[in-house]
Amino acid sequence: MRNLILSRLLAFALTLLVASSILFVAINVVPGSAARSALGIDATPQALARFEALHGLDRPLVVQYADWLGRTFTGDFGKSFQNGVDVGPELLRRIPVTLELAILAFLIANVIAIPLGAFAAMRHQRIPDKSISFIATLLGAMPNFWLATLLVMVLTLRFRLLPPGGYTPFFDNPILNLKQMIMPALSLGIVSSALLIRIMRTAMIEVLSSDYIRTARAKGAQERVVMLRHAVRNALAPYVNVAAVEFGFLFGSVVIIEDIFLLPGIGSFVLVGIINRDYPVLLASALTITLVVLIINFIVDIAVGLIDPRRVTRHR
Amino acid sequence: MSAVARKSFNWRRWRLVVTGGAIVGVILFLAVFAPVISPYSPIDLDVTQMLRGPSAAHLLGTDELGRDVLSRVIHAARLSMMVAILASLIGLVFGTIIGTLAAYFGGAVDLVLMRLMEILFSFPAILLAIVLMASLGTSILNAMIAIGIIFIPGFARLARASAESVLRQQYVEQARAIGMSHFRIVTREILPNIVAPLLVEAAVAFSYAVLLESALSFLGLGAQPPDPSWGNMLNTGRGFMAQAPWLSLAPGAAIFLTVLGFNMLGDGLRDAFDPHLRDE
Amino acid sequence: MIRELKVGRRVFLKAGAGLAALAAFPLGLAPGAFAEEPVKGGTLKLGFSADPAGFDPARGPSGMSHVVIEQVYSTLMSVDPDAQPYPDLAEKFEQSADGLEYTFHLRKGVKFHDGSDLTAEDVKFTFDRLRAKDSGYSYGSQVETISEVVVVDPSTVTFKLSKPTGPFLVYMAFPGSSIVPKKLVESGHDLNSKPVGSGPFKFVSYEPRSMVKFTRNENFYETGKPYFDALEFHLIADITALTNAVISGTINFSNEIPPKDWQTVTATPGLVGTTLEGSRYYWLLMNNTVKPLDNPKVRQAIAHAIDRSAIVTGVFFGQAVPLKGGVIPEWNWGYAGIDYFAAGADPEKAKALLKEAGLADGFTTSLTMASSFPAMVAMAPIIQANLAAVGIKAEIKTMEIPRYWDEVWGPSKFDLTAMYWVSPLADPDDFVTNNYACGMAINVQKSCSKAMDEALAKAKSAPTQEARKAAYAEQQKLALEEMPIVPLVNSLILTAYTDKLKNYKPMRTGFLKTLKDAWLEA
Repeated sequence: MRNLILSRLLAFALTLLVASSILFVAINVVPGSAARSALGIDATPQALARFEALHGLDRPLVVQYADWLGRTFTGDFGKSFQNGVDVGPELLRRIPVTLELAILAFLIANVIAIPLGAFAAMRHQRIPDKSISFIATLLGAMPNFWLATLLVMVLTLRFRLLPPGGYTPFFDNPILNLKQMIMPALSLGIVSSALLIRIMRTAMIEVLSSDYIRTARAKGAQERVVMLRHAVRNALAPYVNVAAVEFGFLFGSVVIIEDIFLLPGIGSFVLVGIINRDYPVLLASALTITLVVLIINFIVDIAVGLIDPRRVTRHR
Repeated sequence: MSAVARKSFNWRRWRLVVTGGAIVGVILFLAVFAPVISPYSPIDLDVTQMLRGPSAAHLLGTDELGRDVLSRVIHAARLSMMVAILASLIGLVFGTIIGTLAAYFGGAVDLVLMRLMEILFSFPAILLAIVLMASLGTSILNAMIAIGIIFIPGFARLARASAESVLRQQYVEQARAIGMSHFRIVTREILPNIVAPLLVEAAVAFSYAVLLESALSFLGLGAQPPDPSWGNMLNTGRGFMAQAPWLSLAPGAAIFLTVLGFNMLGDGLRDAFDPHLRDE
Repeated sequence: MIRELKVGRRVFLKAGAGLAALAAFPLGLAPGAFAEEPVKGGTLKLGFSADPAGFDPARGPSGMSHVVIEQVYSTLMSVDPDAQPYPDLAEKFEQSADGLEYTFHLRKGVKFHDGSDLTAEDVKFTFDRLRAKDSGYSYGSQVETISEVVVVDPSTVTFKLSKPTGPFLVYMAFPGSSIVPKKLVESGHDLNSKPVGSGPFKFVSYEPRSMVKFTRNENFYETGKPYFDALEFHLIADITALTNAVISGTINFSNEIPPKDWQTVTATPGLVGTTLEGSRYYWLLMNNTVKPLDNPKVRQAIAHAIDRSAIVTGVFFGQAVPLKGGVIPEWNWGYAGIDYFAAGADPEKAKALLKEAGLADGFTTSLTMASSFPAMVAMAPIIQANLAAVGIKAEIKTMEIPRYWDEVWGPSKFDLTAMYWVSPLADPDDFVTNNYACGMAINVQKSCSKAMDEALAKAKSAPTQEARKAAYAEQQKLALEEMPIVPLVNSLILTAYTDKLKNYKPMRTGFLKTLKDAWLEA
């Protein structure tokens, strides 16, 4: 077991290193000068050169990389090209926003998927199953940014129930915060639920046809109890595996949703970095998102390895 | 494999393939014959007709410069299909090569290649797409390349798994025993037998490519206006949500239907080719 | 194909009527804004889309930095809503007959926000700092004619110039010329993150991409002012969100309302909207070094082919004014009154000019736009259609702003492109020199004409305003002959604010200095 954790930890570290290198190279070869984006249309060549010297952009790439790596490990994420302010603190301020969005969306996805998937499995091949599967197919084809637009059109413009965007911290005004979060979370959660419904359904079907369940049924326990207690619990094991990976995927999709709903999270920070060619911002936020996804995958690997050594390799 | 399929004719599978295929067929038709079918040119503008709702003259209304939305949606189909096909092709070709080589040579080659694939795979797709597009520069070609790169690990994995199962077969051992060259073994024995699952994966990749391309255009990182793309039409439409909802509904519905069509087709094909993978 | 404007006129007339009304009332006497008692108190919440890039007048080049600097610091001169300079920190000033010496007499008893006195020493320090070799000041051209700043006595300072500088007084009103506290800066205080000035509002805090907060300067030298207790600059990057915030009342002031939402915003109860012609003009650049654009006749043809009224309608929803002659707008004293273009296109004239240039069959070219500016994106197809109507086939290329700067603008790699500029000074020189003078940063069309440079220099250094005005008229005529760039439209400043805001006068420069005179009704 220790070997498992150690080997996975090593893999995690290696992946992180390579991933950060890829990001660093990709971002630094981005065409479009950071200097001019920061200084504006009337920037003189001298001002541009001065900016580049100030931020060390005129040094060889390898030197810049080593410098950046070193500083990042000590928690110094550099200063934004746009306003010269430290990126680190702003990044920290944005993390709770993205976390809240991701967690809420994930919750919604599961609240939809687990009951529906289980129900579909219990009524396998009959009408409820077919309708649920059909709905899942439809939901899975929905682009989350279109769903977001539709939600805004109905809930904000037509019925004036919810604000079109913005963010108030939860502890400042819980009601407003939830009002602002519900549509973004729904946009992400509903689309994610499509896949999860299928996974739950498949897992349940497999469990329901297993010997264990047949034995339990033969013992005469009430069918309902059998289903709910044993089947669902057993189906959850493979479900959680995929669901956790789906959470990682969901986390990566926050970029678009945060943009649409003007949530000041890490996702929109990535866009800020790209639009302004603000390299420190872009690097820090892209790396943070990747890091979170890697951590989730890492935890899932370990957990799955502990629970069921047979299923050590992730799929999908 | 085919024996199982023939034994129980699954109507669901058949329905999926037909419906999905029909939708895909329509989209492809629109894409190919866009200039002929479109009632107007997608760039023909008339500022006096801006932001008009659906009417007899303009079935899906006009946009902020008076251009016909229907014509733009049809032309955007062309773009989406082009990007989807080429990106999937890039993913398929390079992914297969990498996966097959990894499976065939095993050992260090396998380790390095698949490790690299895994790292690439662990990047959230949208994020990687965004960074790549910013890195390569926004253009339709680069969108194809960026999305193609994102697909490579998935195809590589699948190719490797399929190739591995083929490699365990007797005839490969025999081929090696009689001294067939690596190249011939790979192309003659392995590739033909892994094509099926790869093609199914390609169908699913198509729909994902359409989704990714429109997401990128939506963020302003894909096809640039005034070139019509469903994503950037949706983006512009957002600014006119109250005044002209049709600007957002039309392109969004187009993306939805296209993705749906390819998904259904992919699902149906997957069922047909390998019932063991059903509902995965 | 562009069809004739019919509906467009209706929208156009509305905008025109609005402007006419404003013209009828001299600015500052708009009905309902006078004979009321100022009310002290309240917080004005303004919305902006850009983040400031630092608060040191010598550093921040960004427009948003200047909006902040303007509230926190003071300048020797200021410009009024009609862009006329008046003495501000200086009580009065004298200008020598040869225009080489300016003496400012400072107000007495002015204090910085940290309590220290503002004296002539601070003025000298400010300008020596700007003129220093390694200052990195982006607007060095404004202070390059200052050869020496002399402290005559604690409240008198003299500027010696190396040559007559027409816009000098306006330069003194520029936010970059804000007076900074010498002792504080010399002691190592970082003005860029914590500005300290003598302006109507004290800087409180800055949260990046979120908020800048100010509080009233109780010791402001204009006694009784300002009236607001505090100011909040809400930084909302997304323009749609900004507009929504105005409509919903989350913020109660913005001068960045997009034209497409103007109807909605002004129809919202509780909001007042004003439109003002300012100095935000758009122009089409043609690469003067590329064939056939190097032929002035071709450039003139292009200029005549463009339908400016279609741009006003299609791009700005009527909230813009076509530039019919030079780029200096109608309200400015340097306006030459040349009616060279019709509001619509003149394809016949364009074709005739092309024929003269030997290109009766037209030619193929490209139009490159920065896709991050919605106005540019909307303008491109219109321009393309206009050119097509006279036989010029223009292919549209777009790319996002950072790449555009690097690959198109910087190296002048384009055939045709468009840009906009907001002149912060509103001196006629500011409108024209940057675009027309050889070698200027914005002159990426690479036009270089000795006659033009001479005309510009003459107009800048002419001794009196009348002389300058005449010189600018000549310069603009020359500009229309040589046509290195094509003036397009001047887009109106659209300001929306709560109807509780009283005595607010929008400024032609787009700045917000007049906030100190405004108050919020209880």
